[in-house]
Amino acid sequence: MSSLEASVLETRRAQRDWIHPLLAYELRRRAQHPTFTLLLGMWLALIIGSALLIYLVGHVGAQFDPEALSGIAPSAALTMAVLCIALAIFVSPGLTSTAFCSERVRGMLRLLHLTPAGIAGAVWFKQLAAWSVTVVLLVMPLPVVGLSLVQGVPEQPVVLIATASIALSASWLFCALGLFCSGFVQRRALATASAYLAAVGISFALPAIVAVNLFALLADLPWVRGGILGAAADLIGWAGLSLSAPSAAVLTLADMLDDNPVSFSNTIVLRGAWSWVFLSAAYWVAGTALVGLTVRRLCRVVESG
Amino acid sequence: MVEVQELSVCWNGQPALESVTLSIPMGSCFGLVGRYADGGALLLRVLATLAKPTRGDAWVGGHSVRTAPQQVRAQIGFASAVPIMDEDLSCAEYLTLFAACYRVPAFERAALVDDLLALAELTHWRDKPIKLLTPPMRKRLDLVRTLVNDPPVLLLEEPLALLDPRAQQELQGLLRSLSDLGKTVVLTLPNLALAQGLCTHVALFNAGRLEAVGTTEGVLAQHPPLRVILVRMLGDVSLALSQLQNARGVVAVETPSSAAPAQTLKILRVRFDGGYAEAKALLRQLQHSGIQLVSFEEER
Repeated sequence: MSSLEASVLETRRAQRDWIHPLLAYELRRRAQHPTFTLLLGMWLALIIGSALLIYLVGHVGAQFDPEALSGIAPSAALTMAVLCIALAIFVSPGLTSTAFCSERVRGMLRLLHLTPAGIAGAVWFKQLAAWSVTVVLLVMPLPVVGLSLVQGVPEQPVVLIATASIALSASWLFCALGLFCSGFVQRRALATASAYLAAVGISFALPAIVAVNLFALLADLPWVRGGILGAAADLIGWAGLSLSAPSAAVLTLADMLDDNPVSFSNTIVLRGAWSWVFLSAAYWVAGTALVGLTVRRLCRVVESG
Repeated sequence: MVEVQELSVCWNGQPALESVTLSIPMGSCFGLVGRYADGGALLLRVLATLAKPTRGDAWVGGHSVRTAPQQVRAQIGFASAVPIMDEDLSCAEYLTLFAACYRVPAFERAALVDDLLALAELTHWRDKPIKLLTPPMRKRLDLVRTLVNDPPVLLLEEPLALLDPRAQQELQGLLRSLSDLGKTVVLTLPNLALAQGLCTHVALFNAGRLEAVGTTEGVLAQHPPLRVILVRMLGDVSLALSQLQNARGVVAVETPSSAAPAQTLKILRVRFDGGYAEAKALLRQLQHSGIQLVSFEEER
């Protein structure tokens, strides 16, 4: 290969797209939007404020009870975990719920439909960009969590892995839910309201109904009771954990850990760990399916003029 | 290049286009003339794979819009009547985005964008956001956007709509230069007057049916306007012309010689194929646009 050819190849390699331009476009749109800066500021203030509050309350309490100091690290870690879950539930739908409501975006979609990237590309990259924003926000409490770990809290890693797993998958699902609503409803307020209603429904109402009715019924079956799935009481807890809201899952897990120290021989904790793996997987699958449905819906909208 | 065979489309359960058969020659500038609901715009959307035919088929570059929409999309560039774009992007970013979507290699994009901006005479606006552009500039930018993937067929929806006469002339020049590049340009127009001097061929649509097809002169000869309205006025005729050319029912406008002094009475002969309601709307439109109207009457 001549030096000229090598130079041309080198130049071409340097100009290659390391990130798809549509994704870069969506990310830049989000980053340049004033709401993003506002959200970032509020989230940072909430994290720092919560950590400071826990630290101060712990130190004031230590004047009366010296053992209060040992509660600071677990409290801080658990607060961050709950905040992350709350963020995933309450911020993610809002990031995407108006994504396809405006005529301008639908016009751009029609043009993108004619390109090889297609509507599928536009929708998937919107989902990825919105999810990336939540990932950035979820990463922000890591310093506080890291400090808690340095303090040496044995049960925290399991809770943190549970939190991270469920927060990431829940934010994926709820971003997809927002996209889905914006694909069907063109009024911004209505799309946002329906996305939040669905998110809250998924988080709180549905799991409670399913957990109480279905698994309580199963637990009473004679061949299940005391069998491989454990006692009825354990089973209901396990089932509630696997199907319940992300926040409830983490809190239930944390509650279990209070009474059951972490070890690989602790079956309740292991069952709990498996349950949130399944829950996360279900959220990933459901979110992906919702994005697919949104693509189909928007293709129909574009083709029907 | 573009063939349409027995094509019918139903819209909201109603037949909107019925048994249209036509052939668009390669390299021609082909006007689909008619009001929006007459079927020309719908045919353009079918060719752009943005609407599905109920019966019949159409082929672009030998590919069927029914069975091979992806291949058809690779052959076309489509621009809608009102350019809808992300106004926060700069002109270069807008074109680069579409170049990337059409999988133009990254190392070719900068040169391509420069060429397209030069063609649209927007080189100095390269890094300016689209929101600063005037409507004619946006139209030109959107028009050159259709060239990003170098398609042989351009499908343009009402390219002259919402433009003043001067901007229309500029855009007509750009369209002619695209024809000269060997592109087949298919565009929708509200009346035959706009097709004169721009289109080599036209197809005339009325209520979802193809009424006439052929060379522009041939169709004009076959379908002469039903009546002539005489518009007598004072002042500059350009405003009146822009109003008339975009008005419903107006087929052609004959203007007085440009040498006439500004304050003399000018008579515009308007070939008109609309009904009483359209004529009434046209008169109201002229009155409200500030034209110094002296009389508005049918030629006997």
